[in-house]
Amino acid sequence: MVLEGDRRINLYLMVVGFLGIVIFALPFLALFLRIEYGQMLIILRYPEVKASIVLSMITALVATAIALFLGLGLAYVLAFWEFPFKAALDTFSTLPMVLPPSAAGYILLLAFGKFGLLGRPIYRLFGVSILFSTYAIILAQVFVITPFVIGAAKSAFLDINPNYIRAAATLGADQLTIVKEIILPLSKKGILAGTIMAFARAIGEFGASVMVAGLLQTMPIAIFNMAMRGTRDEANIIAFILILISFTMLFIFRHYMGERR
Amino acid sequence: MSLELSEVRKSYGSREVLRGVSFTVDDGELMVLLGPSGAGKTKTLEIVAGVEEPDSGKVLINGRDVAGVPARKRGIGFVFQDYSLFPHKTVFENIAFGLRVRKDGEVKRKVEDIAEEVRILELLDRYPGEISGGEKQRVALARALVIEPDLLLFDEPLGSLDQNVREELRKVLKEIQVKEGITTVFVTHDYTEAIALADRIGILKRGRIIQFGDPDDIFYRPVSREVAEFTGMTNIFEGRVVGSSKAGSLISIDGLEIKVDGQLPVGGVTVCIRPESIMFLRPDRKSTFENSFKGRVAGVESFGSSMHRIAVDAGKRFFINVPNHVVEKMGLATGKEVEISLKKEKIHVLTERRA
Repeated sequence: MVLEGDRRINLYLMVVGFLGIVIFALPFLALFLRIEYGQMLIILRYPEVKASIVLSMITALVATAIALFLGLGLAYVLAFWEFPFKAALDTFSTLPMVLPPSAAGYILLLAFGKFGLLGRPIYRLFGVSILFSTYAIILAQVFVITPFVIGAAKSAFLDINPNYIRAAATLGADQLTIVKEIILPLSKKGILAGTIMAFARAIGEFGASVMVAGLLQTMPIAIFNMAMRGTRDEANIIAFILILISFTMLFIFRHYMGERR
Repeated sequence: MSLELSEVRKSYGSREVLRGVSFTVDDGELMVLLGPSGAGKTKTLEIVAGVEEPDSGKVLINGRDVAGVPARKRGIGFVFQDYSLFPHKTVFENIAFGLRVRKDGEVKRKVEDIAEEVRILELLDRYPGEISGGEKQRVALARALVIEPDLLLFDEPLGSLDQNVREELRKVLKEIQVKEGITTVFVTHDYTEAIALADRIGILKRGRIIQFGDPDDIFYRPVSREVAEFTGMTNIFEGRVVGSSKAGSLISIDGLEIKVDGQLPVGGVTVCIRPESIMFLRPDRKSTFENSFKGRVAGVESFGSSMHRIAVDAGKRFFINVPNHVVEKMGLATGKEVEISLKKEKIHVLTERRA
């Protein structure tokens, strides 16, 4: 494409180009200049730092697995079934994507806390509460990330030519065979892309988890606490690791989405 | 296996797609469901196959009501309009699919046998994305045939192919259908395809069968002007009966007088003449048919690979199909003076009541 240059437009583009670099690249530069690279391995062994990395990895992996389990089923229902209030279910399963995370964490407290809607009877019966535990963090992450899996899987399912499913049925395939042989293979890439986004989101989840985590610290919570009390060297390293993970996830996501086209 | 549909209805919201479709296909017959797009042809096939459910009405396969029998247990081979070959499976795996889900022990032999029959042996390792439209059609046919279905359904399977491939595949399809004696329903909007294939034809329009019968009935004795127009009846004229006795009737079409068979009530009628039913008289011969008119050629165009369609002004404009060699021999060209003639039994008359 060749466009005629207009001085006013070019000036505008130069200004936004410069601002873009300042806004998007400068913060990363600021971090990279601050990191004590020589100390990196030592800081990584600090119990607080190590614990947050381990907790983040475990919760994000488990939450992603649960989100996949829930999300695939719900996406299937939303894509292939017709039932009353389907639109309502569709909306509710998408809502967490746009809900402010702290509000999400707060309503999870209301539902699962010791005095919560479901939390209270559970506490009375068993004397336990899942809040302020690893489970609570996983719950918060699942709440926030499952919509990503649902969205990706649903659109992948809807992309499948319905005649493939009809053809398989007339050829004698039962539902399980159709799911295994037709639906999943043909939506594999979309589901994978959704899963990667979900994992990336789980690793970075802060707002909802912080409301229910108690004293536990995932990496994003640890950065916040460390920055607040001024232990910058540790915060730097954790931020660096999170950026690395995000970048990798984005790279894999792009790779798969690119191949799909 | 015979197939019978009785008063099948299907609506989506307020849109009635099928408004009471009934027809019967006998064992081993090929029935063509002919109709314009949007008539409900695909929906009819889907209901027979069991991938859609009717709102009411019955589908009987070999006399047995199949309501509630899932698609996978109906033993039906379905060839889809878009072929619907599984894109992530090779041609071999596509054809083998129906055998594998049936836990058939001779997958390889059966796939190779059918691939040889429809001449796609060399394509077995390819993916659907790597083969042509005509080849996909053959694969879809093989995939439907390999499960030895009791009933074959074709949804406009030749629609998107070019003329030569169509004619060739039509032949292959008819050969196999006759050889295997499989009861078949073939959907198309193309009446020439219907003529080439059908034992019986049902004309479907706006969700209803408007005529059902042998090809001769449909093409020579349409029950309405609507059917006539749809089946390539190129000469349809409004006229009046001016004289009638047991021996025959005389109809005036804006002054052009035509003799027809049978006694008719005096009044308005619709006269239908097929383009193949009119002959060009050689200049040295006299007509032995009851009707002959002098006229002038108004246009010549090719029609299929072996025919031409000639427009002739002879009081009214007639459209006539003749083989290519006749066009050549008689020197039919625009402006030429000609005499055309037709037998009175080849003329179909719709009285007002029926039209």
